[in-house]
Amino acid sequence: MGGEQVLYVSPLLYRVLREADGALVLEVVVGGIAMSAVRVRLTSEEAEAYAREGQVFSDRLAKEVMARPSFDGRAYDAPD
Amino acid sequence: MTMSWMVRGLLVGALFVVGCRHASPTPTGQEPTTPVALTCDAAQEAISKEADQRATPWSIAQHLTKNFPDGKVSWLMKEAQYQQYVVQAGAKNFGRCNDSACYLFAAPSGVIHDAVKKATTGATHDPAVLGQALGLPAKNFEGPLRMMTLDLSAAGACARLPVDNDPGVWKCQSEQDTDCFKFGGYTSGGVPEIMVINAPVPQAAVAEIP
Repeated sequence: MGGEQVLYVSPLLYRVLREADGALVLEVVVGGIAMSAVRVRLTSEEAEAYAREGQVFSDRLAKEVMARPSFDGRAYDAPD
Repeated sequence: MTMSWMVRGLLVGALFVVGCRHASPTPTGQEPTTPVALTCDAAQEAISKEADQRATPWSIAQHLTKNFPDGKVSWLMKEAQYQQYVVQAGAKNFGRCNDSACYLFAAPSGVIHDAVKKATTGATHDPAVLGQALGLPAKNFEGPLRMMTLDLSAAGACARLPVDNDPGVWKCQSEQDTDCFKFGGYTSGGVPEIMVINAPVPQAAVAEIP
């Protein structure tokens, strides 16, 4: 994806990305025998929590996305 | 006398060969050549025992014998995720890793290979056909994919029934839900599945599915 910066790649199979407009995005690998990925754009509160807590926060948020891949309608498919 | 010792020597040699053959298990095509669950460490063994108790009268041993007779497992990943999380990340094991292990959902190799074969026409695959064959939404299979295959016995990987607390589990909320986790060794689409612990990247055969 052009213009995005990878800030962190987790062995839990998620990435924290910074998009060209500066927004933070969490990309999470979802699925079992067939794996794909979804993305969630972080709210300003979530971005602040990530700045404050770092990996501890992103681990927690990624696990929530894995457990609810639609993430209450906030998740969208990662580009193929 | 010399002849007698030669005959004894030949007999002992023949018995030794027969004994060695019996000592090595031969593949029957019916059961895994190694009891895969025995390769689990103490922590995974404890989780496996608890899962077997919950699944009673079913168990990982019965599951492997019935659904994974050749001991081979396969799984699929979208090409982008394979490149980002396996190749570029230099992953040693497939799956979601925490401090203790890496956790990977896998299905019988034959089931995945047959589904991919059915969905492939010419140079590409039909996501709808693949999704229908595996009981999952077609969108999970759009775009290029990678198909991984691993021989559990050769890899020495641990296998057990997947449980609710495994990384990546998305629990089904209703009977109508698909593409979510139900305890018991089968996906919501009815495909047999197991949890493979520490599936080594170098030992997996990887095929491109354009």
